[in-house]
Amino acid sequence: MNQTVVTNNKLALISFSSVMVLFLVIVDVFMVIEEREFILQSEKRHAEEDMDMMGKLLSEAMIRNDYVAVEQYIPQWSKVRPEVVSIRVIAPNGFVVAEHQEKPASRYVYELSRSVVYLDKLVLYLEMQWDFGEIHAFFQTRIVKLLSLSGIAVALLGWLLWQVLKKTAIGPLQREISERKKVENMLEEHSKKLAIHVQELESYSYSIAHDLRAPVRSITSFSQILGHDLSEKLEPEEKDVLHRITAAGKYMAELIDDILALSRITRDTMTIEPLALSEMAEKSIACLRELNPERNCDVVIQPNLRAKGDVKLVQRLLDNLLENAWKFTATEQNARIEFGMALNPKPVFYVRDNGVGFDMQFAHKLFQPFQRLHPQDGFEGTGVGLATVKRIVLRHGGEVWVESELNKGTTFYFTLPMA
Amino acid sequence: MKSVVMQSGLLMVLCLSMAASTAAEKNDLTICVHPYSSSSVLYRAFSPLAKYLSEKIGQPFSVHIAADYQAHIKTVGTDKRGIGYMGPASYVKLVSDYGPKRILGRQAIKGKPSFQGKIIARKDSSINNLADLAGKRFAFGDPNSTMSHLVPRYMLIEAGLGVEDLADYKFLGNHVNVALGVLSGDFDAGAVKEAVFYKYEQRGLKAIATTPALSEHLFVVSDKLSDELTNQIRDALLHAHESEQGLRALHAIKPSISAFVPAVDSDYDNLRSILSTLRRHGVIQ
Repeated sequence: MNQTVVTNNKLALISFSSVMVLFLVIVDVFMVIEEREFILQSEKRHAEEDMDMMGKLLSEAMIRNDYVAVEQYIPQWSKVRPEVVSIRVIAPNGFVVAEHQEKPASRYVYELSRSVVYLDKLVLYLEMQWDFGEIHAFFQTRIVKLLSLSGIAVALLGWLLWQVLKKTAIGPLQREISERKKVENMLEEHSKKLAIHVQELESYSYSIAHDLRAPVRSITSFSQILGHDLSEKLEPEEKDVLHRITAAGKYMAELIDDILALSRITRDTMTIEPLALSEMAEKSIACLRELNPERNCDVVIQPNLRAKGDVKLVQRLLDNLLENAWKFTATEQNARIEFGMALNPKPVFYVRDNGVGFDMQFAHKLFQPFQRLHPQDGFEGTGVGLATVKRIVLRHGGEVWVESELNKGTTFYFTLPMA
Repeated sequence: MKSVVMQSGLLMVLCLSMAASTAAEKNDLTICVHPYSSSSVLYRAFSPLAKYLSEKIGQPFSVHIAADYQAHIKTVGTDKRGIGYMGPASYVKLVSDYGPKRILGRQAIKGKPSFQGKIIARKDSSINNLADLAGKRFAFGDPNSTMSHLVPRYMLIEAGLGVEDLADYKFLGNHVNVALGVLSGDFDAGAVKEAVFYKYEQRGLKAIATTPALSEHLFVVSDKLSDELTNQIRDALLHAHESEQGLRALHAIKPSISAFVPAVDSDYDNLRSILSTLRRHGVIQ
């Protein structure tokens, strides 16, 4: 995390520097080119002025037939203006009176030609060339210098920004990150301790439940034996008390069994494998029909439902949900139970019934152990079944929730890893 | 800068005048030179010869630059002590005004003791002889120049043409201007010395006529100098090209001078005749 933040900041700074360099390059090049154009225009104006002046001098000499002076002007002029690489003084008849020619040092040659007229008479024709290579070379050097300086300036700025950033932003961030990490470590430590405590607690519960099992069964068994042996001697009221003792013992044994089962769900190791959910649901329904052959219930199971999970746990999950639906549709004349899969948009399995339903304001209690929404005498159960369902789904990394409406039915939704 | 040069020039003229005066006082032999260039240039040109002759003769020579051509002729003609360097026309006038003078020798340019000029036109011109010049524009050099004015004027006269027969004529000051004026088309024809013609011939000139060969510049000697001394000086001058020092002295006057060779007065007869014709036609006085 820490390293990622630093790397991100570095990347941001490098990007900023690159943009800066690009910007400076564009600005430098643009400004230098503009300045070069300005200087070139200025030099061209000077060249034209030179040409005008030269035209005047030469035409005066030509008018007074002082051709020697014309011959002498040319080398003198080219000596004073080294950028002038070519001068040709041409008489009206085409004769080159005087010329100076030298090879231009560059390809940036500027040419001008002009006819010099005196009193409507063509006196001479003047051709001149200037080599502006030095100006171009000067500005090329300037561009290189400016770009180098810009690069150095941006590098320096980037380095300074990096130092400032390290002190002002990254430093505190790093401290915050390390503090968070400390807290995370503490939390992790606490979680581990908590898990150990929970495990210890569960072991303890399991031990208690396990240890309670034998005495409860003894109580139940002995109260049954006592009832059987003393059935003729006991008064009806005494028989009723004994019967209640036996019933309470049985209920307590069931509770202990359910607690042990719930505990086993989290303790047992899982073997994840592909599951044929439709067949598993058929199996659950077959058991239920076998236990209650007189029940008339329409069960619809969507074929070929597949998922992944521990076969024993998922079988228990389906047993619990279908048994639940079976139980709460017992009073319904046209009982109907569905098991299928919907897309929400991920695949979601559901068990739907048209049983008694419940008020959704109590839904939060539904998956807690020993919580019951219906009276014990109406519908049998210990209140551990849905808690078991939730634990199984959570162990598979899934989710479980319920939608219900009183007297209309209930639908349980759950997700499992898909095959 | 210009004033500094002028001041230096004046100072040099003063020095030279003083040197001349001092030389006269000491009865030094002088080399009198006509002012065809600036005094400083001429002093530098003739000093090596003065030194050469001094060493050969055993008497000191000094350089005297005349104020103008007339003064020069007068100086040489009135027999100032020494020798005089004369142009051909000046020599003819000298003899005409002051009688015959003894000639020491005339200069040979690259072995040739005479010089010529050319009447020129553009190669693409329709002018092919002197008669074609009627009604054309003509360029002369300096009015006093032998080859760019006087002899060409004589040739025109001989061809039956006066300047009034030309469409226009102008003095352009020097030979090069004449050549370039003709090439530029400002003039149809002109007169130049041979050297200038050959220099510009490749650029499009042709010669429609060649002047008579005139005897070159010469040295004459004052009547006041003895024959013995005159012979000594003549001998030194005519053999100057044979020694390194003497040749250097000749080249200082003009790099193309190869030697001084013997000459007689009749060598200048054709010029004398030309000048006489020009005088008769009022071209010169």
